[in-house]
Amino acid sequence: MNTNNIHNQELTDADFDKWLGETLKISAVEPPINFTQKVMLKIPYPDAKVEDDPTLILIVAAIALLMAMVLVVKYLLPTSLLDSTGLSFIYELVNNSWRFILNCILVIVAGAGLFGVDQLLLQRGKRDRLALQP
Amino acid sequence: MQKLEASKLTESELLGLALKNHPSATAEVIDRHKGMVFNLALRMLGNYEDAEEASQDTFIKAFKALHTFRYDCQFSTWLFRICYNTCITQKRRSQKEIQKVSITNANAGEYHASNGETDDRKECLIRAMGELSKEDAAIVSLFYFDELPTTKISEITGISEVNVRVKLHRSRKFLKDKLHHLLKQEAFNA
Repeated sequence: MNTNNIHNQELTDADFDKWLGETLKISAVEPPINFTQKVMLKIPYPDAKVEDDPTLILIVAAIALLMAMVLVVKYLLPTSLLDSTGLSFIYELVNNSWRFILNCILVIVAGAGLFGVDQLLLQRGKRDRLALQP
Repeated sequence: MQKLEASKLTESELLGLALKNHPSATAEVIDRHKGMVFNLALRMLGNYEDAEEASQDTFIKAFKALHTFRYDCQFSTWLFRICYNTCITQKRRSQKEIQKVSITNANAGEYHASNGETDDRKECLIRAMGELSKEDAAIVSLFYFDELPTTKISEITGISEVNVRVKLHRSRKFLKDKLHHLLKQEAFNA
């Protein structure tokens, strides 16, 4: 800082600007040490979407392909063709697979039904509790 | 990715990774900007706890809205704008009188001065800054502490550039009058 100016009690704007900048910088305050961790904990991370996960994409694609194959063999391929080529065991295999798939679908539907009933009862319980409150 | 690797990346690379919810990149972005955001909030709110809350909110809002950042300005400018608006909202929300606790006294353990300057000098400036309005304190801080040009300050605050210059001039005059006594005293002591 220009000391002559200060001694003359005539502080120029430039001197003051310099002083203010320097003093503001040295009076800078560090944020708390665990600031980053605190913020990281508060940032909501969305759940991974199916389209973002290559493994899930592969699994879904494989299941779809298997289903398509089973459906093609069961409904589109004539039985006589398999018999004539000596591949009738494929038909048996597809029939078994189809039965297995139907069982899986049945279990999933039953599970979803039970989950739905459970949710319904929970909602009803909540409503009853609210109604009982004074 | 290791922390060490994240620190070597450019800002746009880090933001790209943060957009994909990469924790190390997100942490690095926070580490790079927390000082300036925190100090702006502190100068505007004049209270350590409020400044911490406001700067945390700033980063949370920024990362939630990161997909809307269009790279038409610097990331720091965008962050400053969020911080400025957060502080204005926070100040409006808390109608209660905030006791302006001395920063040094309130957080003696966490206060790290950059060099051996006297606390009196800093205290005096902090007190004078506290007497400015939150907008004026932000403008002074952005101009002198972050060394931003008035065009950028205008972008951040949403105040016209001419108005920023006027406010800056008035604040400088106010601070100069307030601090003149201290400066004279220092000159005599030197």
